Amino acid sequence: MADGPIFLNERGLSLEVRVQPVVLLTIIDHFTRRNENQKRVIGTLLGSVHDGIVEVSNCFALPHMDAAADVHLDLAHHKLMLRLHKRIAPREQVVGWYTTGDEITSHSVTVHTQFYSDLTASPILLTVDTAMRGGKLGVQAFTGAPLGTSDRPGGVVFAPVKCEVKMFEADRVGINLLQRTRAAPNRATPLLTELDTLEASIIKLQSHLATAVAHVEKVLAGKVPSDAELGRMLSDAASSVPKFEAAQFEKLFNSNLQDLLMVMYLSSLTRTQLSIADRLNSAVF
Amino acid sequence: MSRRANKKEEQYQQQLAAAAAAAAAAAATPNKITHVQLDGLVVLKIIKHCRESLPDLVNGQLLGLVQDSRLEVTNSFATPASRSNDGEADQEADQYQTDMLRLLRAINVDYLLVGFYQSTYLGSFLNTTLIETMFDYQREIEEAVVLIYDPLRTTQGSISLKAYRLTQAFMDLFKDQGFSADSPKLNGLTHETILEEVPIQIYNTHLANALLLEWESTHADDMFERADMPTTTLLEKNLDLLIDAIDDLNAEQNKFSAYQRTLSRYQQSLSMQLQKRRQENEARIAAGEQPVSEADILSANRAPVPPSHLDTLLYTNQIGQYCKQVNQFASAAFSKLYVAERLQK
Repeated sequence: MADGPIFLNERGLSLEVRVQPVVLLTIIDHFTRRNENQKRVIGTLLGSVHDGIVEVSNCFALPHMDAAADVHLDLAHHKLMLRLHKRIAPREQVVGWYTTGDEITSHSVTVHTQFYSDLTASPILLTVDTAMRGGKLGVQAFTGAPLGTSDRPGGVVFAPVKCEVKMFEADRVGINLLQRTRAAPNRATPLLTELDTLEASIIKLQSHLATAVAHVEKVLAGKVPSDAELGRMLSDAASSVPKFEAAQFEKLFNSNLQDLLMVMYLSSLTRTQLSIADRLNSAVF
Repeated sequence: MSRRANKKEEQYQQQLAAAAAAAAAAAATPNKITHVQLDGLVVLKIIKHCRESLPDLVNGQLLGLVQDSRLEVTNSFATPASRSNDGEADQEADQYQTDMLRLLRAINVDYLLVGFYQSTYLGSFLNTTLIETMFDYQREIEEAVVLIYDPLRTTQGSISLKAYRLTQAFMDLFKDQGFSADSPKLNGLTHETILEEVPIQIYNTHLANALLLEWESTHADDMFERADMPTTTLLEKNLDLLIDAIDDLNAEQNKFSAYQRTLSRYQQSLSMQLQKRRQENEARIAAGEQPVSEADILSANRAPVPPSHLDTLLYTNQIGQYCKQVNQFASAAFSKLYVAERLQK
C-alpha cells in the first residue's frame, strides 16, 4: 500500500495501530447504550503517535445524528469532554475516531474530513463490527488519505492498516478474569483468590507438559518426523529447570519454610494482641 | 466532595437529586446489598487509570445503579489529581464532576454515583480521609461502596480488587462524633467492624463476551509468572508497613496515656484547690463571714481535651489488614514451596 504517493502525507504513513483493550470495551459499551433507532455510534480516539505506530489508549463517545446527506455532531460535547480528559491524562492526544459497523459510508468521509482532519494531521479510523457480519467481532483500522490537490480537496481514501490489541501486564490479568464470564450461566463470575489462579496455572503447565511428552514419544516411535528446531526448543525448556543438589535444596527449602512460619507466627501474635486490645477497650469504655 | 449547584446546572441537579431520592427510597426497604456487580469495562478502566498514574495513588468515581440486593457498577471516571487544597481547586473538582456526569448522561450512561475507587499500595488505604469520604457517600446513597485496587499485587498474576463499606455501627458512631467525646461510646465496635467487605462479581455483556472470545484465540493466556517462586521483597515491604503502623499505634497510645496523666494531675490540683477553698469557707462561716463561691476555681482550670479514639481504631484496623495480607502471602508461598519440592523430586 506504500507504493503510491497518494497515501503519504507530511507526517508520514501510519503503519500500525495498537489498541488497548479498554478502548474496545468502551466502544462496545457505548454501542450497547445507544439510543433507540440509532444504527451506529461514533466517538473520538485518544492516544499517541510514535514512529508511525499509533497507540490508542483511550476514547470517548460523541453523540451524533445521521441525516440524509449530512452528519450532525455535538461539537460542544466533544470540546468539553476533550478538556476533561486532558485533565486526567494531559499526554493523550486526539489520534482519530471510531465507528461501529463494518462499512465506510459517505457519512464517514464527511466526519473524517470535516471534523477530525482539523484536530489532528492524519486521523485514523477504527471500525468495530458490532453486527458481526463476518461471523466475528471484527476490528479494523484505516488511515485516510485526502484526494485531490491542496486547493481543491476532493474526498478521502481509506487504506486498511495493521491493527492489533496491546495489553499490559495488569490488563492481561484483568482480561483473564473477564474471560471467565463467558462460561458462566448468568455471565457473572466471582473474583479469584491467589490460590485459584495458581492452581489454574499449574493445571495449564501440566497440560503443556503432557502435550510435549506425547509429542516426544511420537517422535521416538517414529510416527512423526523429528524437527530439529522443535527439539532444541524442548531441550532448552527442559534445561531451564534449575538443578540442585538434594541436600542443598533441602536446606533452601527448610530455611524458606522457617522464615514463612516465623512471619506467620508473628502476624498471628499481633492479631491476638489486637483482639485483646479491643476487648480491653470495650471493657474500659 | 459536595455537589455545589450552579445556576445552569440547577435543573440537572434536580434530576440527580430525584435519582438519589429514588435510590434512597429503595434503600428504605430493608434490602441490604449482598454483592457488587462490576462491569468488565470498569475493571479495565480502573486498571488503566491506576497503572498510568503510578507511582501516584489515584481515585475516581463509580457510576451504576442499585438493583434489589446487588449494586451494579457499570461505568467509572477518573478524578483529576488536585494540585492544591484551596477552595478554588475544590470548586474546579466539583465542576469537573458535574460536567462529566452531564456528558456521560448524554450517552445514556448510568449517572448515579455509587461510590469511588482508590488505588493503594499493599493495602495501606485506611485513613481518616477515606473514612470521611466514604461516610459522605454512604449518607447520600446507603449502598455506596469503595473499591480498593492494588496495582502492585495485580502484576503478581492475580487481580487485587476489593469492595468495602462502612458498617452501620460505625456510621452511627461517626455521625454522633462518638470518638472525640470524653468517653467513646464504642458499643462493642472493634477494629474488625469498621469496614465490611462486599463480595464482587464480574459481569460482561454478550457483545463484550464476543470480543473476549476473539482475544482468546490470539492472546494465549499463559500466566506462568504467578507461579514464580515466592519473592521475599513483597513480604518484606509488607512487614515494613506493618512495623510503621504499629509505631503509629504506639504513638497514639502514648498520646492517650499522656492525656490520662494530664487528666489525673488536673483532677488532683482541682480537688486540692477546692478542698482549700472549702476549708477557708468553713473558717469564714465560723467567723460569721460570707463564703466565697467555688465557680472561679472551676473556670480557671480547664479540663484537658481528650484525644480522638478514631485514629487508634483505624491504626488497629490497618494492622489487622497487614496481618491478613502477610498470612495470605505466606500461605501462597507455602503452596508454591511444596510445588517446587515435588518438582525437584
